[in-house]
Amino acid sequence: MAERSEITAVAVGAALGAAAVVLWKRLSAPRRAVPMAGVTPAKVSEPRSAPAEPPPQASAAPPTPRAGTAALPAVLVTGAGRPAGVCVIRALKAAGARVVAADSDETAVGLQLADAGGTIPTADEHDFVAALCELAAAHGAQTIVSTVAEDVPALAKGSAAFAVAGLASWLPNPAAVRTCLDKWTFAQAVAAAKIPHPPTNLGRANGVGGPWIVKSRFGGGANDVHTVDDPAELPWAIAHTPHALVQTRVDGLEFAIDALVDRGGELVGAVPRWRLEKERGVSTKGRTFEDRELVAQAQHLVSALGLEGPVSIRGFMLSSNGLYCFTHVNPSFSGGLSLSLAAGADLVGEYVRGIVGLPLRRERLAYEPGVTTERFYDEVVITA
Amino acid sequence: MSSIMKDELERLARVAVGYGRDDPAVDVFLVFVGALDPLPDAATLKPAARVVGKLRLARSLDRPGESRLGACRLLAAALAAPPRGEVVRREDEPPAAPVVAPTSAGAGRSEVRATGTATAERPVRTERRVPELVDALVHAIRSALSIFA
Repeated sequence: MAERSEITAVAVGAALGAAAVVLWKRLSAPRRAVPMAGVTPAKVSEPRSAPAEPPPQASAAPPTPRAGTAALPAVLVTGAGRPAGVCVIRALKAAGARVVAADSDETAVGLQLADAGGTIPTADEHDFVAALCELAAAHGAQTIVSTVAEDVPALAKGSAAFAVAGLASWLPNPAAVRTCLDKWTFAQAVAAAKIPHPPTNLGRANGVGGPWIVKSRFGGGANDVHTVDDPAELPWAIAHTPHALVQTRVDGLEFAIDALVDRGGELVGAVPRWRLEKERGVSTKGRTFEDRELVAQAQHLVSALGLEGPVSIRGFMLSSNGLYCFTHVNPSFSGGLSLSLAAGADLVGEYVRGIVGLPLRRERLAYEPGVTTERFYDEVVITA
Repeated sequence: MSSIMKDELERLARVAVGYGRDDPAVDVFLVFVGALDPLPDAATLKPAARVVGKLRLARSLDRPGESRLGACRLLAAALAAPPRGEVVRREDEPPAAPVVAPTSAGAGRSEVRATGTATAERPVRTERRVPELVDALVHAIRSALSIFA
């Protein structure tokens, strides 16, 4: 009898993106999608009356594709083990696309969710681009979607190789990506653009008021992050954080914006959502909302950074005065992308259209505000 | 921030929610919270936020106006991680009292104390006095009336 081994791939961070439930929607008012008809601030001054609340309705189904997504090309998705990668794979599968997943970890859960998959070297290895081209050729992928911002500079260097291999790509300017990945450079860039940002300093707190958050200049997610209330504890936190960045800890409500920027730098789709709960830096509960003024500020931000393609923006609504403050921009899809997809914005499908040179359609990037999404763990069981 | 302020905010939240979560009374309470100056800390706001509920607060954020800031403050407090002082007892705090039995008289959830918890009463310094709170409340009511007019 052949030896039988069972591997249970319990997707921890990754499988947060593997399942999403649109648990509750406000149905009291007629549902309306928020179009992206421009980013001119148009604040509403009068409050709407509070309507009677109907019973909550829940749906466990993944976001269903709308008509018009069937003609997507075969897509190679990198970062298949991360929440963003899993979100993109599931969205593309739901849209009827053939998906080839890639990750440096052979146990990445996205490899099991896609039509085909394979392991690749990490982006800092010399054969990274060649391995991607081989994987694409082996499985007929025609486009590449990177869900790992840190991979973009290496991918950008491989653009010519991708073109030769018939693999279409659309990558942001590597310099803009480096600005986003380096929190200190980012802080300086947004300060120069007069965009609200918490006071920040490198390696010390001079001029930066407390309470503080100390995090790595180059870190991502929730790694190497220390919250500090007592000035006496600040030296310890700085000493135990590589490339320590000291920032005033913002008191407020955190938001994220999943957005798509066209090749001209214009924000053609933007879904703001409150981050009602998160685990290890990934949003697990959220609610979409509408605020044209915030989207206008986001447009200013991406223009200042020179970004294009998928973008995830983070910030806070300040408890002190209700104004917005931006803390971070990720030049890639976010781990909480499924929350925005559930609200109706086809960010993934339109990005793939953009990769192959088709115009982005604003109407397909519209979304419903007031959609609350709660995520849960899911598992993939592999029997071999 | 004082425990008096925390208790009063929670009590006011219960009064507002008592009319129903969709009643404008909740928005009046949110306007009041938005008008508080200085801003109470998260620990002070958290019980009131719990009474109103995260989804109700999130819905209030959809509505422009002065209630939005109050909803932001309460929701941020509801989502804030507990300060380390609540997790690890500081050495300068008084020792915890012995385990006490539940003291519920069946009068309400707020009066129920779970077994294994203890409360050490001690004098507190209030950051705001009653006249200031009254002023803030009057301002909140005026703002609310202007909104709902």
